[in-house]
Amino acid sequence: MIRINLILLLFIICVEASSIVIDEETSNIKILSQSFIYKDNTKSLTLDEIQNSDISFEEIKKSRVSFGYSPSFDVWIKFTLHNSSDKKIKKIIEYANPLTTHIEFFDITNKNTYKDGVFQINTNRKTVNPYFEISLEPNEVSTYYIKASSNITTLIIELNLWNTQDFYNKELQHQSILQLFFGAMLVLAFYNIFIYFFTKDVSCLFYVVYVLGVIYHQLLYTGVFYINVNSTNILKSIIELSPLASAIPILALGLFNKYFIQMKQYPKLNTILDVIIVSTLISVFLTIFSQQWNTYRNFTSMILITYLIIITIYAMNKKNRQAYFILAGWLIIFSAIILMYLNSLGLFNIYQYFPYFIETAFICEALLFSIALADKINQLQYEKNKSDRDLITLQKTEKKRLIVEVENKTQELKSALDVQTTLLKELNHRVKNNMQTIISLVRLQADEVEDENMQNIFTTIQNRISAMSYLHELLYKQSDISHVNVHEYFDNLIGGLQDSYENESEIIYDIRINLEVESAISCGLILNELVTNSFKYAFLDKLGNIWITLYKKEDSFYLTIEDDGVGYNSDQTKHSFGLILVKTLVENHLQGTITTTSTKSGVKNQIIWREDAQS
Amino acid sequence: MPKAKILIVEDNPITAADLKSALKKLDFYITNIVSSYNEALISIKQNEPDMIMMDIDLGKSKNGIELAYEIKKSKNISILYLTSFSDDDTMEKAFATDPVGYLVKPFKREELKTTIMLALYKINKLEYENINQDHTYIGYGYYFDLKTAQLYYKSKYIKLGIKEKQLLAVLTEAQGLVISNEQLEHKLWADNAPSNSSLRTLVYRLKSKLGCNIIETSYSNGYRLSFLT
Repeated sequence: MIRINLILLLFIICVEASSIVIDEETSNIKILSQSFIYKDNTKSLTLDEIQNSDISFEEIKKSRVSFGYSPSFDVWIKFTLHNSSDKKIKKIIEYANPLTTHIEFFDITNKNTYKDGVFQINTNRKTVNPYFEISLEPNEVSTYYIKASSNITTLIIELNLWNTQDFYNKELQHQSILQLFFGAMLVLAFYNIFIYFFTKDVSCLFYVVYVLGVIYHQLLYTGVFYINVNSTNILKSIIELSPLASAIPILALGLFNKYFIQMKQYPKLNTILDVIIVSTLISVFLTIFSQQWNTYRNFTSMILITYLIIITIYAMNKKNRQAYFILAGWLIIFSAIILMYLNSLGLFNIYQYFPYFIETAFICEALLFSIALADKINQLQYEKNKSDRDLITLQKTEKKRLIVEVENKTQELKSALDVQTTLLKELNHRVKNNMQTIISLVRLQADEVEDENMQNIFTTIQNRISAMSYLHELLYKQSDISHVNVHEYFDNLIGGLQDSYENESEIIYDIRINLEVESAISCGLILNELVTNSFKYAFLDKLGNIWITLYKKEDSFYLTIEDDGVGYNSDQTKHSFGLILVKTLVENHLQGTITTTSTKSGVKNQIIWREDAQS
Repeated sequence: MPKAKILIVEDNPITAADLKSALKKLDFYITNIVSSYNEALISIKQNEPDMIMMDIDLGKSKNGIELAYEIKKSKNISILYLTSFSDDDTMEKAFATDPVGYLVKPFKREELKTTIMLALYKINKLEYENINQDHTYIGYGYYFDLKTAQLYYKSKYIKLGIKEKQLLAVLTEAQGLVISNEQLEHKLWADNAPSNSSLRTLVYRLKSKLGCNIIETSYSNGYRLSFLT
């Protein structure tokens, strides 16, 4: 009996050395470090063959093993549990990686086999990671095998043993955090979609694609996706496209970066960026269609990311405001991606120190980029306002400049006109003075003559000279020198004659037009003669009416001088110098005609000439 | 009554000779004929005239208006301008020296006679006032009889043209209120509305005839009698 006990004890000790002692309190322990591993490169061994003593399992001594993307072997894990308590206990073995495609769990004692993994998903499972329930009788020692292999995805193995309660508590907490993460990311995606609709800034759109890509990637990466999709076929095809899951966010990020810091400013760098983006895309498709690429699938992505960081630093050096934000975002995302990559390669397990590292990094980075976008919009708004202000200032300045210009030009023209006007006034003033001299000369001569007829002749001469001088008087006073105000001219002229002949006759004018200087001076002399005649001969008591009309009709001018005097006999006036002068002026100067009708009730002279006929 | 003594200030010798001849015929005594500012001042000292026939443009020397101011400082000699300037600006400046007349060149001897007689009347008859109650005083010694449309300087009848009489009648009736150009043109010419420069010429002629600023231009859109305002 003692011997038997001794053997049993030895056996137990022996078993103890390679088994994990647990009791009902044991929970959340890493199993792998006390398990054994065997790589089946043939990928063909069955459970029976594995149990064969020829197979030499090795100790792992690590709590987590990684074999990279789609390793070409099956991994067998063997571990033994020993229930040290005297109660029957139930435990949960958690396979702490959602990405493994094939997992088989063998419970030797109970002769049970469970299958799970992305490609053979247990549709009843609601937890992110696969798990297997075990139960051990009091003091029972039981050995378990796990066979794991992974197509496409990375094969990382980590096994935890849990109390049922603890496991579900942990799972609940984990899923809540993940939901929080996805919720936050979705909100950011929606927020930026709206920004895109309002601003039409294409970088917003790429940013949304990026956020959605991150969500997609994380759905796959955290395993949330698999437990919500029941169809294995769909899962298979999604897993096969998993290279896209990591490529989409990175490509979107590249494009976002390109438009956000306006790479067009740096044409050479921009071209290189385009080349890298296109090669990343090609490499993604190569990965999808040929499994050989799988191990290197992140290579071009890493080049793209590195290049993006380089151009961001470059842009920052060029004082590109957006680049500061991007770089800060990059620091976060770059470290996240590097750590994820290291994790995928099985070199470094960040989760051990910071379980939700990736999720936190993504949210921080997404928030930072959202702030950057908001800042860019602000910046654009500021620039728009500034350019609006500049435009307004420019308009004002231009307006002022034009006003000054117009004023200067006006001033110049005005002074030029003033000079001109002054010169003309001076000219007419001198003419007037000369006429005064001529009149004075005539008068001085007349003073020497006693004869009354001679006196009359001198008076007539004076009046003729005066008739012309009134015109210069007008020209001297008015600003328009091409035309003469005929009414004013005639009025002045006849006023002078009235003074000269002391005649009080009523003069009735109907002057409808003004004349050019040339014809005005002829008309003035004609009027002088005809009105003088009326004053001298028509009115016996020096009182009567004289009608003077001037109008234009169809290119012809009509000047009429009519009185209501006693009329005259044309024979008496044949040799009158005054009438000869009138005839000469009408026919030779105006190239018109004169019609004279004399009755006992008055004399009417009508002169007609054509506008274009004057010499 | 001794002959009135007149000094001729005129830089054109022919015009001066004409003027001298005309004034002699009107039985005035010509103290001198001078052609510059300084000569005029010297001549006044030597033989003080009752009146000066003053040309405004005196060539390079100071002009006639400046000369008038200089003379008025020490002597009370009447000035009658005879000039070819007929612009508002010059007339305004000339009227400021309170002349007894303003005659525009080229002048007629009839005009000269009328103007000079009125001027002498202004000089000699200052003491006689118009006592006719029906006459309205319109400033500068002038009276206007609205019933007969006749103008008097104190008690002397001044011969005016028909339009000149009408103009004065309208403005006298207005009692110093501004009458617009349109209203005046309508009253003076009725339907034969001429250009408003005719009105301007009429006013200028009347002002120069009366030798004072009796009619005031109001912002170039109307006229009024300056004294009655």
